[in-house]
Amino acid sequence: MEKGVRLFLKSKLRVFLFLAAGLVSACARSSPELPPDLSDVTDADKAALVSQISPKIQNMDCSQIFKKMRDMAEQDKKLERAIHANRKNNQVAGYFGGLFILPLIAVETNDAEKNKLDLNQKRRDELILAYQHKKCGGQKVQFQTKQ
Amino acid sequence: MGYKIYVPVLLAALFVSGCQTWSSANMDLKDGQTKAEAAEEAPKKSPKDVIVSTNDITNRPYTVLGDIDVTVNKTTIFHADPTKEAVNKKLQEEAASIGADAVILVRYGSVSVSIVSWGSLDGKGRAIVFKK
Repeated sequence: MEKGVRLFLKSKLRVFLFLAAGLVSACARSSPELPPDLSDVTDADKAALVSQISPKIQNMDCSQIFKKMRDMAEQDKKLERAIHANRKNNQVAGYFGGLFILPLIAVETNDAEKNKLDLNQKRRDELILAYQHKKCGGQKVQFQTKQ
Repeated sequence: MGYKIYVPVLLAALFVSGCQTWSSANMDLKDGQTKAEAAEEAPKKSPKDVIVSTNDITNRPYTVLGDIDVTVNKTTIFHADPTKEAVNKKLQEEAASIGADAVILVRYGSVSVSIVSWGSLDGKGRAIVFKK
């Protein structure tokens, strides 16, 4: 009987830890999906894809596209700083969440910032598609790193 | 009683050890190749020579080798969060292993707690090789 109760408590603890881990990891934001590979796509097919993106982007010239991409990169940095500012708080809340369920509520998920980052990436992919189609290759493409 | 000693010792060992992060990677290569098959055919390349870009490269023609997905995890709660630079480094290592010249269209997730780590950061990119 006593052994049965102990086993029950153990399994309840396992379920609780599994749920707590699931709840904490639900706050995770993984990197957005890569756009389709267009390296072997014909210009006509690219034009068809470009026609599906927002008219505002379609009407941009090369310099406007690059400016928009730079602005978005700046905006992303601000959003990432806002998410990073809550990391320590989230880790402490997550740590205590392993002991008591209530502190998990204290985790700041920054959903608005994360959604905005995902939206920006989607728009960046559209801008990249537009500059491929407009053959903006003459302009220098900025590399993020070359170590 | 015993585990009360082992746990702090293990944590202290991890804390002082150089293993700040550990990482994993997945590759989705064109033509259904495995990483081992691609690595066998690829010329030896230094990871440092692999370009990493969040944009596309339009001024040089290229061939796509495949998509790479990496995750960098911090070892303990006491270690520093993984950075984009660590993700880039892992992308470069993976890309170099299959003979890629660059990883383009790179994007990152946000550092967060995962089931396996107190801080995980993932990144994706497309491995390419420039046409000669």
